[in-house]
Amino acid sequence: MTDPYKVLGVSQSASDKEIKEAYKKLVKKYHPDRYQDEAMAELANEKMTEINAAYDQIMDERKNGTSYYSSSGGYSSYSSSSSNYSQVNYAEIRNLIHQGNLQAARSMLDSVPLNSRNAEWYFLRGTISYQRGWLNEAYNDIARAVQMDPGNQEYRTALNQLNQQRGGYMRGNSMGGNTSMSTGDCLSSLCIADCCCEAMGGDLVPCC
Amino acid sequence: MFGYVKAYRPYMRVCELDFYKGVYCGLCKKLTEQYGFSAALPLSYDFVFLTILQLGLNDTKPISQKKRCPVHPIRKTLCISCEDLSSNEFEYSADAEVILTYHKLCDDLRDHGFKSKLRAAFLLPVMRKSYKQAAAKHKSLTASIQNAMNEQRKIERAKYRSLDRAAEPTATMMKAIFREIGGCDPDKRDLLGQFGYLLGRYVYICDALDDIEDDYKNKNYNPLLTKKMLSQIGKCDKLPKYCLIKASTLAEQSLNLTLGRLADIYTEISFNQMQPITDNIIYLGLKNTFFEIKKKLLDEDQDKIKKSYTDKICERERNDRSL
Repeated sequence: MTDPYKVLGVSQSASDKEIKEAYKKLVKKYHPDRYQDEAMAELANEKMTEINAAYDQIMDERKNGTSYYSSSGGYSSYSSSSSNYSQVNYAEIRNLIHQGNLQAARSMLDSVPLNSRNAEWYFLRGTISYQRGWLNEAYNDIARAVQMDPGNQEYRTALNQLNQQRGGYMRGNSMGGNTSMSTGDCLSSLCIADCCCEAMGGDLVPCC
Repeated sequence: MFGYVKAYRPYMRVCELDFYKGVYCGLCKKLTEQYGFSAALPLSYDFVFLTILQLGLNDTKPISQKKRCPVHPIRKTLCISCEDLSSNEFEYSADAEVILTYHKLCDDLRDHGFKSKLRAAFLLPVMRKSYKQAAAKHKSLTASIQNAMNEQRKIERAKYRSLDRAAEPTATMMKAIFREIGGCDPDKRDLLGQFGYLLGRYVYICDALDDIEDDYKNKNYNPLLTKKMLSQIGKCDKLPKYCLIKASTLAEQSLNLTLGRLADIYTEISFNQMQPITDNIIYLGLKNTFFEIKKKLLDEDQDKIKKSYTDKICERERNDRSL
């Protein structure tokens, strides 16, 4: 397997933005539409496929941590440096999540020993799961964060949003509710969501 | 994506429904033209959705013609195609259909019921040639799908209880298919990849709920069957009603979370003139398909009870009359 970073001509420590820039530059260079000659277009097409595959692979690795580099190092420096910490550096983890480097954020979280995992730890792990699409685990973690620290507005807002979606809310829906779902169903699930929220200190429906 | 991604037709305008059916016709024609009639046999509306997304994304002007089709030889039907020969929306969907169907059939042949095994055994040899042709065109896509199928088998063997983990292979497979239609725009590629991932999750959850009774009966892996439910095997040959309700609630909550996130991403992409149809599929069609599965699962018992009840009444009436 070729190194996807080499295909794009960037270093492994490049940010997502830099990778996108490099990708765009290559697209400009190799786009098959630029070549009139059929043989050249064919070659460019092949090159483009390779570039696309490399880009997708890098993005997947950063998101899911299914990297074949992960075992051989890459981010292992984080775990070794954080093993002798006195306080977990959550700001840095947040920063990594913000940058889209979920794999690095996750390995930093994993290095925190079981007994010092607090509400923020669960919230951040939930956020990572959410970003990569593991929504059930995200829900459980964020609900746990709210349970551990009911006063935190950030966690509660996140859980409220998840509860709305769990009850069937879809953004941008102008079609109304589902036709085969009666309003009774809708309301009862909303009430249940509200009760769950209230039990955890939030409130979805202010009137009840 | 085998038959779960489709529109909710009662809420479609007539012109939209005509267009929707027309794309199916165009896709079927494309498949027949490129791979022969056998490749068009297992065509489902999921790939019509894939085509419509592309038409919207690229803002392509499709043309509609009335054409004859061997399936309805008497009347001509509306058929959508692309004016511009360089646009490859239909071609990509056709290729994806061939690759995906082939892998699905291979999977069926391995560990499914007798009926689907027979169907797979019949269809596989005819599809092999078209598969090779399509796979040569999309090497990285084929590799991702192959990989996902292997992962799926691993998960089935390990019997993980996490629904997130169980849905991962189907989701990544769909991610690979959908991000290709983002072309060479990195942001669109990422967004459509996420879109595909969530749609794959949706398909997996629907499929898991749809198969739950069969999986229970045949002792197959299904992430919706909890340990407690599995302990019932041997005691009763049918999954008790309360288990079905519990499983379908879990499925519904996971599905709603998935669709909520899917809608977040869907609103970030513009599908131009195709928006009314894609809106219908995303907001109504997907949920409707799930509710139909749920209804079928939960009402089946009631239907049987009702039937046995009416049978009893009939019998009593007959007895009364004979007296």
